[in-house]
Amino acid sequence: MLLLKLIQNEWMKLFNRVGTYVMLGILVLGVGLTAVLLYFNQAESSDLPSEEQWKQELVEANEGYELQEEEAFNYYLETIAVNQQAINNYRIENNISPYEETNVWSYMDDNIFLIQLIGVFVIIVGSSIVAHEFNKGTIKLLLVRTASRTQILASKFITTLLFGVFLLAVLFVLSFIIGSILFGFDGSSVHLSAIDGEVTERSRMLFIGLNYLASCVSILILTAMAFMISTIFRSETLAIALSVMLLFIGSSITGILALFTDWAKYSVFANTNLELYFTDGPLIEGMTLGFSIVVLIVYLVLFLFLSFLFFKKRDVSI
Amino acid sequence: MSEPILSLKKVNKKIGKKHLIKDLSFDVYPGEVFGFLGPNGAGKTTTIRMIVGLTNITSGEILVNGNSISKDYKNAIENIGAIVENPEMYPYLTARKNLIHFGRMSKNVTKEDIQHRLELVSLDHVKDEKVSRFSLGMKQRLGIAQAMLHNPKILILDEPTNGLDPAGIRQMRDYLRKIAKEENISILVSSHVLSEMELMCDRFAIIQKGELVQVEDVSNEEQVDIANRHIIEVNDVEKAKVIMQDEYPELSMEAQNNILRVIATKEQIGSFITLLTSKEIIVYQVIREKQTLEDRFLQATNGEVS
Repeated sequence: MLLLKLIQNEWMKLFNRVGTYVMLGILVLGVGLTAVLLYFNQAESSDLPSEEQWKQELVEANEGYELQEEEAFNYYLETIAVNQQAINNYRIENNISPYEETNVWSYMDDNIFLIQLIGVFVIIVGSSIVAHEFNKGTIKLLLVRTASRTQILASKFITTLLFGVFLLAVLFVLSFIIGSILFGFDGSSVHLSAIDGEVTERSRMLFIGLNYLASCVSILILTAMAFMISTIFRSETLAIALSVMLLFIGSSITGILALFTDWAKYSVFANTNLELYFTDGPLIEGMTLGFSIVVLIVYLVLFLFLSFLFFKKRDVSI
Repeated sequence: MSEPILSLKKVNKKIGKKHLIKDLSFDVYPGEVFGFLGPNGAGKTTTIRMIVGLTNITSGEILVNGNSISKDYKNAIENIGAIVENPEMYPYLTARKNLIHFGRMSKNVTKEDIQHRLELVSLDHVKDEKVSRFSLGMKQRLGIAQAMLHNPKILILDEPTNGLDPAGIRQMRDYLRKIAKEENISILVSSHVLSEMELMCDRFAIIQKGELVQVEDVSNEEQVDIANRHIIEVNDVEKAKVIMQDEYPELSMEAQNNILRVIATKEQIGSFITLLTSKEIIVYQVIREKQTLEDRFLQATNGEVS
């Protein structure tokens, strides 16, 4: 099938470029660095606070949340306070210390922040995979063949997604291997989360898996956005800068907007963190998983429609 | 003549108010090397972009092996192998990987085909080196190899000799003539360097400011007076001129350096040589002046070469 061969081509080009290995290297380095830091800073079981100590701390923390709950002028801050109190109470009742020995699951949990890095890499690849062909002029050789423009663009989009999934797999597997060697499987492997004051106890493994799955969704949306920007403006730099900026400040802006208006719930970034529905509850009151999925699909279709429209209609004059 | 492999019918291209190509029509037949000439900015590359479907046609039609490039893109483009402007290959891939890449985009291109093409363009010895280390001539040859991978019926090359050294140009020319003959492929080649085209092409079209000026055979020599223009090189041009004018007062001639320019028939030239030799003038050489493609080009475009 032609599309498969095109994807094979894109994959070959991707893995013959230095940049790809630099990205992989940085990711591996990141995983190694967190392992080293955690390994030398891990608490000995004798150093952990005693039951009395941590229970006391949690009771004090809850008093603080009580205050926050009363004074909170906003749904988001209020939910945080309510949920944290619920979790702390749950810990006291069930004797689950917030302090724990490091094990493979807590290490993998810590490494979830590296998914943000993968987001940046996927944006870089998504932005350059089209713009690069225009910069080098090779787009002409791609287009003067029987493959339609739609097929060419689709192969590039799918390749970018596959690359994102590949990086996620590298992060997951590498964290698991390093974690199990350095930290082992001992210790608690429970993740607590609360929605509307209701605490759910989950195994850490499930929680981590959920996070990885949910990040696939945000990578899909980000890729589509970077793709749209780079096909419309044909500028690698612009697409990377704009998408990375949105990746980092998009959710903050949405958070700030959410303080003032409910309209923030239509922002793409208010919806990309699907795992929130299973863990801490939505960003804005009244949002549901179904709502987020619909909003994300609308954005995805819009981004892709514009990319394909511009790519198909354009006169190639480079 | 047989059916044309490429046919342009009243093709127009407008971008905004600019009318880049005006009612351009010409045909390219199987097995011929067709030159597409014009000064820089005449619209050669724009036309080629329309032929290969990179740019939309404003009005008119382009047929490739009978299929319209705008309506039946897939069936039309199948017959074309092309390099548009520079031979841009992926610099970070090796020559072989570049060909594997483009081979995958066509049906039935085998490893052996790729090897065969590499040998034909004499790049076999560097096939596993990255293209970024190639000279322009090597890139140009690799470009031709990729264009020929799927055995197209017509090869379209935009300024293939641009930037090549004389040896490279000659190599390119010989190679193109060879494949045109051996594989019975048509070649449309654009250029603004006319002396090269003369040695390469069977027929050519000249365009200027987006309009077709003329289409003709390279070997066309219909103008008699030009065919009879001769140059005679002698040792003493002043003396020779006096002798000639005494004997043939009706002839027009110019003396310049050691050269005498006359318009005369073959038979007359014979008696000139006898006459001059008998008067102890040494005749070094007599050349029949040919009108070059360049002369015809300048004539057709009224000397407006940029």
